[in-house]
Amino acid sequence: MPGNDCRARWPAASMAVASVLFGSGAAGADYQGTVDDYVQITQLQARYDYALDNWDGKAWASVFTADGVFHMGATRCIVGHEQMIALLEKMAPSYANQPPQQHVTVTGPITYIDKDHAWVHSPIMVIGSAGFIKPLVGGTGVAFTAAYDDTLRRVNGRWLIADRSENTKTADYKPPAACPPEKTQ
Amino acid sequence: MCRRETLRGLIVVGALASLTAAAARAGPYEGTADDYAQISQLMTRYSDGLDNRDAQRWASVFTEDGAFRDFHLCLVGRKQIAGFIEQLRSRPEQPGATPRPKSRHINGHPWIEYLDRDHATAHTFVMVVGEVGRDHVGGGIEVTGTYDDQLRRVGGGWLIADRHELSPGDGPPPCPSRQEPLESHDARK
Repeated sequence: MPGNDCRARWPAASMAVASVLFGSGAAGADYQGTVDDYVQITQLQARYDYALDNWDGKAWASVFTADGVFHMGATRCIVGHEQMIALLEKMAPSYANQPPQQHVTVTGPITYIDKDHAWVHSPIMVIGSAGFIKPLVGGTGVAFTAAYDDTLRRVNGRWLIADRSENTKTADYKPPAACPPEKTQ
Repeated sequence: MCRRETLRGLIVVGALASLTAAAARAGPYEGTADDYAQISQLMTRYSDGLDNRDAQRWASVFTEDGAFRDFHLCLVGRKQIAGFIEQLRSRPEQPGATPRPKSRHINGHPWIEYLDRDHATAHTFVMVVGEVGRDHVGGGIEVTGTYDDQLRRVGGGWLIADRHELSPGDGPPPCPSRQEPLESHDARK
Protein backbone atom coordinates (compact mmCIF):
# COMPACT_ATOMS: atom_id res chain seq x y z
CA MET A 1 0.00 0.00 0.00
CA PRO A 2 1.88 3.05 -1.23
CA GLY A 3 -0.49 5.43 0.59
CA ASN A 4 0.18 3.86 4.00
CA ASP A 5 3.94 3.89 3.41
CA CYS A 6 3.66 7.49 2.55
CA ARG A 7 1.73 8.39 5.72
CA ALA A 8 4.44 6.73 7.71
CA ARG A 9 7.14 8.67 5.89
CA TRP A 10 5.92 12.28 5.60
CA PRO A 11 5.93 13.13 9.32
CA ALA A 12 9.56 12.08 9.45
CA ALA A 13 10.36 14.23 6.42
CA SER A 14 8.46 17.13 7.99
CA MET A 15 10.35 16.72 11.25
CA ALA A 16 13.62 16.92 9.36
CA VAL A 17 12.53 20.14 7.64
CA ALA A 18 11.20 21.55 10.94
CA SER A 19 14.52 20.79 12.58
CA VAL A 20 16.28 22.95 10.00
CA LEU A 21 13.64 25.71 10.13
CA PHE A 22 13.58 25.99 13.90
CA GLY A 23 17.33 25.73 14.21
CA SER A 24 17.63 22.99 16.81
CA GLY A 25 21.00 22.06 15.37
CA ALA A 26 22.54 25.39 16.42
CA ALA A 27 22.98 24.50 20.10
CA GLY A 28 25.98 22.64 21.37
CA ALA A 29 29.65 22.86 22.09
CA ASP A 30 30.56 23.94 18.57
CA TYR A 31 28.38 27.02 18.63
CA GLN A 32 30.26 29.80 16.82
CA GLY A 33 27.84 32.68 17.32
CA THR A 34 25.89 34.70 14.80
CA VAL A 35 25.97 38.27 13.55
CA ASP A 36 22.98 38.94 15.81
CA ASP A 37 24.94 37.69 18.82
CA TYR A 38 27.81 40.03 17.94
CA VAL A 39 25.53 43.03 17.53
CA GLN A 40 23.74 42.32 20.79
CA ILE A 41 27.02 41.97 22.71
CA THR A 42 28.45 45.14 21.19
CA GLN A 43 25.26 47.01 22.08
CA LEU A 44 25.45 45.67 25.62
CA GLN A 45 28.92 47.17 25.99
CA ALA A 46 27.85 50.49 24.45
CA ARG A 47 24.92 50.69 26.83
CA TYR A 48 27.19 49.88 29.79
CA ASP A 49 29.56 52.73 28.89
CA TYR A 50 26.82 55.29 28.25
CA ALA A 51 24.96 54.42 31.46
CA LEU A 52 28.11 54.58 33.58
CA ASP A 53 29.27 57.88 32.07
CA ASN A 54 25.88 59.38 32.88
CA TRP A 55 25.65 57.85 36.37
CA ASP A 56 22.43 56.07 35.44
CA GLY A 57 22.40 53.23 37.96
CA LYS A 58 19.26 51.57 36.67
CA ALA A 59 20.47 51.48 33.07
CA TRP A 60 23.90 50.32 34.21
CA ALA A 61 22.47 47.48 36.29
CA SER A 62 20.18 46.44 33.44
CA VAL A 63 23.08 45.16 31.35
CA PHE A 64 23.75 42.52 34.02
CA THR A 65 21.76 39.40 34.79
CA ALA A 66 19.62 39.69 37.94
CA ASP A 67 22.32 37.79 39.86
CA GLY A 68 25.17 39.45 37.93
CA VAL A 69 28.51 40.16 39.58
CA PHE A 70 30.71 43.22 39.07
CA HIS A 71 34.21 42.66 40.46
CA MET A 72 35.37 46.04 41.71
CA GLY A 73 39.11 45.81 42.08
CA ALA A 74 40.65 42.58 43.28
CA THR A 75 38.54 41.92 46.32
CA ARG A 76 35.20 43.65 46.17
CA CYS A 77 32.10 42.09 44.62
CA ILE A 78 28.94 43.95 43.75
CA VAL A 79 26.16 41.41 43.30
CA GLY A 80 22.72 41.96 41.80
CA HIS A 81 20.90 45.01 40.46
CA GLU A 82 20.06 46.49 43.86
CA GLN A 83 23.70 46.67 44.96
CA MET A 84 24.77 48.04 41.58
CA ILE A 85 22.25 50.88 41.65
CA ALA A 86 23.23 51.70 45.24
CA LEU A 87 26.92 51.76 44.29
CA LEU A 88 26.44 54.37 41.58
CA GLU A 89 24.18 56.49 43.79
CA LYS A 90 26.89 56.47 46.43
CA MET A 91 29.77 57.22 44.04
CA ALA A 92 28.16 59.91 41.86
CA PRO A 93 28.42 62.88 44.29
CA SER A 94 32.17 62.43 44.76
CA TYR A 95 32.69 62.71 40.99
CA ALA A 96 30.37 65.70 40.54
CA ASN A 97 33.13 68.32 40.58
CA GLN A 98 35.75 66.32 38.71
CA PRO A 99 36.40 66.57 34.96
CA PRO A 100 33.99 64.20 33.25
CA GLN A 101 35.35 60.99 31.84
CA GLN A 102 33.99 58.67 29.19
CA HIS A 103 34.39 54.92 28.83
CA VAL A 104 35.26 53.54 25.40
CA THR A 105 35.07 49.77 25.05
CA VAL A 106 36.37 47.96 21.99
CA THR A 107 34.55 44.65 21.62
CA GLY A 108 37.20 41.96 21.89
CA PRO A 109 37.27 38.33 20.82
CA ILE A 110 34.16 36.44 21.85
CA THR A 111 34.40 32.78 22.83
CA TYR A 112 31.08 30.96 22.74
CA ILE A 113 30.92 28.19 25.31
CA ASP A 114 27.55 27.10 24.00
CA LYS A 115 24.48 28.78 22.53
CA ASP A 116 23.70 30.63 25.77
CA HIS A 117 27.08 31.23 27.38
CA ALA A 118 30.13 33.14 26.20
CA TRP A 119 33.28 34.96 27.31
CA VAL A 120 34.57 38.18 25.91
CA HIS A 121 37.79 40.00 26.65
CA SER A 122 37.56 43.68 25.65
CA PRO A 123 40.07 46.52 25.81
CA ILE A 124 38.75 49.63 27.55
CA MET A 125 39.94 53.23 27.68
CA VAL A 126 38.67 55.90 30.00
CA ILE A 127 39.10 59.29 28.37
CA GLY A 128 39.25 62.54 30.32
CA SER A 129 36.99 64.93 28.50
CA ALA A 130 38.08 67.81 26.34
CA GLY A 131 35.38 70.31 25.51
CA PHE A 132 35.22 73.04 22.89
CA ILE A 133 34.17 75.88 25.17
CA LYS A 134 35.65 74.62 28.38
CA PRO A 135 38.88 72.81 27.54
CA LEU A 136 39.30 70.74 30.66
CA VAL A 137 43.06 70.68 30.37
CA GLY A 138 43.58 69.09 33.77
CA GLY A 139 41.48 66.09 32.95
CA THR A 140 42.08 65.64 29.25
CA GLY A 141 43.70 62.55 27.82
CA VAL A 142 43.70 58.83 28.37
CA ALA A 143 43.02 58.49 32.07
CA PHE A 144 42.97 54.73 32.35
CA THR A 145 43.32 51.64 30.21
CA ALA A 146 42.39 48.07 31.07
CA ALA A 147 40.34 45.19 29.77
CA TYR A 148 37.00 43.81 30.80
CA ASP A 149 36.76 40.07 31.23
CA ASP A 150 33.10 39.20 30.88
CA THR A 151 31.12 36.04 31.28
CA LEU A 152 27.94 36.46 29.30
CA ARG A 153 24.66 34.61 29.57
CA ARG A 154 21.67 34.65 27.21
CA VAL A 155 18.46 35.26 29.18
CA ASN A 156 15.12 35.18 27.33
CA GLY A 157 16.94 35.57 24.05
CA ARG A 158 19.06 38.56 25.15
CA TRP A 159 22.75 38.52 26.06
CA LEU A 160 23.56 39.96 29.49
CA ILE A 161 26.69 40.21 31.62
CA ALA A 162 26.72 37.52 34.31
CA ASP A 163 30.18 38.43 35.60
CA ARG A 164 32.50 41.34 34.81
CA SER A 165 36.00 41.88 36.16
CA GLU A 166 38.53 44.55 35.27
CA ASN A 167 41.84 43.19 34.21
CA THR A 168 44.71 45.65 34.11
CA LYS A 169 47.60 43.23 33.98
CA THR A 170 47.20 40.60 31.35
CA ALA A 171 45.51 39.99 28.04
CA ASP A 172 44.93 36.32 28.88
CA TYR A 173 41.46 35.44 30.00
CA LYS A 174 41.27 34.08 33.50
CA PRO A 175 37.94 33.18 35.06
CA PRO A 176 37.34 35.57 37.95
CA ALA A 177 37.51 34.17 41.45
CA ALA A 178 34.17 33.50 43.07
CA CYS A 179 33.28 35.95 45.77
CA PRO A 180 30.50 36.07 48.31
CA PRO A 181 27.72 38.65 47.96
CA GLU A 182 28.25 41.91 49.82
CA LYS A 183 25.64 43.29 52.10
CA THR A 184 23.62 46.05 50.48
CA GLN A 185 25.00 49.39 51.63
CA MET B 1 -0.34 10.37 -3.84
CA CYS B 2 2.79 10.13 -1.71
CA ARG B 3 4.20 13.34 -3.16
CA ARG B 4 0.94 15.15 -2.55
CA GLU B 5 0.83 14.16 1.12
CA THR B 6 4.48 15.01 1.65
CA LEU B 7 3.87 18.39 0.03
CA ARG B 8 0.87 18.94 2.29
CA GLY B 9 3.02 18.10 5.31
CA LEU B 10 5.71 20.52 4.25
CA ILE B 11 3.15 23.28 3.75
CA VAL B 12 1.86 22.71 7.31
CA VAL B 13 5.40 22.86 8.71
CA GLY B 14 6.16 25.96 6.64
CA ALA B 15 3.01 27.69 7.89
CA LEU B 16 3.93 26.83 11.49
CA ALA B 17 7.43 28.24 11.01
CA SER B 18 6.00 31.40 9.49
CA LEU B 19 3.58 31.86 12.41
CA THR B 20 6.39 31.33 14.92
CA ALA B 21 8.57 33.91 13.17
CA ALA B 22 5.69 36.40 13.10
CA ALA B 23 5.09 35.89 16.82
CA ALA B 24 8.78 36.49 17.49
CA ARG B 25 8.59 39.79 15.58
CA ALA B 26 5.66 41.06 17.62
CA GLY B 27 6.33 43.65 20.31
CA PRO B 28 8.71 46.59 20.26
CA TYR B 29 11.06 46.72 17.30
CA GLU B 30 14.54 45.83 18.50
CA GLY B 31 16.54 46.29 15.32
CA THR B 32 18.46 43.82 13.24
CA ALA B 33 22.10 43.22 12.49
CA ASP B 34 21.48 44.99 9.17
CA ASP B 35 20.20 48.07 10.99
CA TYR B 36 23.28 48.06 13.20
CA ALA B 37 25.65 47.70 10.25
CA GLN B 38 23.90 50.51 8.36
CA ILE B 39 23.96 52.86 11.34
CA SER B 40 27.63 52.08 12.06
CA GLN B 41 28.45 52.83 8.42
CA LEU B 42 26.49 56.07 8.65
CA MET B 43 28.68 57.18 11.57
CA THR B 44 31.81 56.26 9.63
CA ARG B 45 30.68 58.15 6.51
CA TYR B 46 29.97 61.19 8.67
CA SER B 47 33.49 61.17 10.15
CA ASP B 48 35.13 60.49 6.81
CA GLY B 49 33.22 63.31 5.10
CA LEU B 50 34.06 65.77 7.87
CA ASP B 51 37.73 64.80 8.22
CA ASN B 52 38.25 65.13 4.47
CA ARG B 53 36.20 68.33 4.20
CA ASP B 54 33.93 66.64 1.67
CA ALA B 55 30.84 68.81 1.91
CA GLN B 56 28.46 66.68 -0.16
CA ARG B 57 29.52 63.44 1.50
CA TRP B 58 29.08 64.96 4.94
CA ALA B 59 25.66 66.39 4.08
CA SER B 60 24.51 63.11 2.53
CA VAL B 61 24.34 61.34 5.89
CA PHE B 62 21.54 63.68 6.98
CA THR B 63 17.91 63.60 5.91
CA GLU B 64 16.94 66.38 3.47
CA ASP B 65 15.60 68.39 6.43
CA GLY B 66 18.24 67.09 8.85
CA ALA B 67 19.94 69.28 11.43
CA PHE B 68 23.39 69.51 12.96
CA ARG B 69 23.58 71.33 16.25
CA ASP B 70 26.40 72.03 18.68
CA PHE B 71 27.13 74.79 21.20
CA HIS B 72 27.37 77.50 18.53
CA LEU B 73 26.00 76.02 15.30
CA CYS B 74 22.54 75.32 14.02
CA LEU B 75 22.62 74.00 10.48
CA VAL B 76 19.32 72.90 9.03
CA GLY B 77 18.94 71.08 5.73
CA ARG B 78 21.60 69.57 3.49
CA LYS B 79 22.30 72.89 1.75
CA GLN B 80 23.28 74.64 5.00
CA ILE B 81 25.19 71.61 6.23
CA ALA B 82 27.26 71.35 3.05
CA GLY B 83 27.66 75.14 3.00
CA PHE B 84 29.42 75.05 6.36
CA ILE B 85 32.16 72.77 5.03
CA GLU B 86 32.45 74.79 1.80
CA GLN B 87 32.92 77.89 3.94
CA LEU B 88 35.71 76.18 5.90
CA ARG B 89 37.43 75.12 2.69
CA SER B 90 37.32 78.59 1.20
CA ARG B 91 38.99 80.27 4.17
CA PRO B 92 42.36 81.71 3.07
CA GLU B 93 45.35 80.40 4.99
CA GLN B 94 47.00 82.93 7.26
CA PRO B 95 50.43 83.89 5.87
CA GLY B 96 53.22 82.36 7.93
CA ALA B 97 50.83 80.28 10.03
CA THR B 98 51.81 76.67 10.72
CA PRO B 99 49.36 74.38 8.96
CA ARG B 100 47.07 72.74 11.47
CA PRO B 101 47.62 68.97 11.64
CA LYS B 102 44.77 66.98 10.23
CA SER B 103 42.28 65.67 12.75
CA ARG B 104 40.25 62.50 12.74
CA HIS B 105 36.88 61.86 14.33
CA ILE B 106 36.93 58.51 16.12
CA ASN B 107 33.67 57.05 17.37
CA GLY B 108 32.81 54.49 19.99
CA HIS B 109 30.06 51.94 19.42
CA PRO B 110 26.70 53.69 19.07
CA TRP B 111 24.12 52.77 21.71
CA ILE B 112 20.94 52.49 19.67
CA GLU B 113 17.36 52.44 20.88
CA TYR B 114 14.72 51.67 18.27
CA LEU B 115 11.51 53.61 18.72
CA ASP B 116 9.84 51.79 15.87
CA ARG B 117 10.94 50.23 12.60
CA ASP B 118 11.85 53.59 11.05
CA HIS B 119 12.94 55.74 13.98
CA ALA B 120 15.76 55.37 16.49
CA THR B 121 17.94 57.34 18.85
CA ALA B 122 21.67 56.78 19.24
CA HIS B 123 24.29 57.98 21.70
CA THR B 124 27.86 57.71 20.48
CA PHE B 125 31.14 58.66 22.09
CA VAL B 126 33.37 60.72 19.81
CA MET B 127 36.89 62.01 20.14
CA VAL B 128 38.73 64.22 17.70
CA VAL B 129 42.37 63.25 17.57
CA GLY B 130 45.06 65.37 15.95
CA GLU B 131 47.35 63.26 13.81
CA VAL B 132 50.61 62.26 15.40
CA GLY B 133 53.48 61.12 13.19
CA ARG B 134 56.98 61.78 11.94
CA ASP B 135 56.02 65.04 10.27
CA HIS B 136 53.32 66.10 12.67
CA VAL B 137 53.95 68.02 15.85
CA GLY B 138 51.38 68.08 18.58
CA GLY B 139 48.35 66.00 17.94
CA GLY B 140 46.59 64.02 20.62
CA ILE B 141 43.02 64.28 21.85
CA GLU B 142 41.58 67.66 20.88
CA VAL B 143 37.90 67.28 21.67
CA THR B 144 35.69 64.62 23.23
CA GLY B 145 31.96 64.43 23.42
CA THR B 146 28.80 62.56 22.67
CA TYR B 147 26.60 62.57 19.60
CA ASP B 148 22.94 62.48 20.55
CA ASP B 149 21.17 61.48 17.35
CA GLN B 150 17.66 61.05 16.10
CA LEU B 151 17.76 58.65 13.18
CA ARG B 152 15.16 58.05 10.51
CA ARG B 153 14.89 55.33 7.88
CA VAL B 154 14.29 56.94 4.49
CA GLY B 155 13.90 54.84 1.37
CA GLY B 156 15.26 51.79 3.20
CA GLY B 157 18.42 53.51 4.48
CA TRP B 158 19.11 55.06 7.89
CA LEU B 159 19.95 58.77 7.98
CA ILE B 160 20.53 61.37 10.69
CA ALA B 161 17.47 63.56 11.21
CA ASP B 162 19.02 65.50 14.08
CA ARG B 163 22.52 65.42 15.54
CA HIS B 164 23.43 67.26 18.70
CA GLU B 165 27.12 67.19 19.50
CA LEU B 166 27.60 67.72 23.18
CA SER B 167 31.00 68.29 24.76
CA PRO B 168 31.62 68.83 28.47
CA GLY B 169 31.12 72.46 29.38
CA ASP B 170 29.01 73.22 26.33
CA GLY B 171 25.96 75.38 26.73
CA PRO B 172 22.71 74.58 24.95
CA PRO B 173 22.72 74.80 21.16
CA PRO B 174 21.37 78.00 19.60
CA CYS B 175 18.28 76.23 18.30
CA PRO B 176 16.11 73.39 19.61
CA SER B 177 15.60 70.15 17.75
CA ARG B 178 13.10 70.59 14.91
CA GLN B 179 12.19 66.93 14.96
CA GLU B 180 9.04 65.69 16.63
CA PRO B 181 9.83 64.70 20.20
CA LEU B 182 10.35 60.95 20.21
CA GLU B 183 9.27 58.80 23.08
CA SER B 184 12.15 56.75 24.40
CA HIS B 185 12.05 52.99 24.23
CA ASP B 186 12.57 52.68 27.98
CA ALA B 187 9.86 55.20 28.77
CA ARG B 188 7.29 53.10 26.94
CA LYS B 189 7.98 50.04 29.10
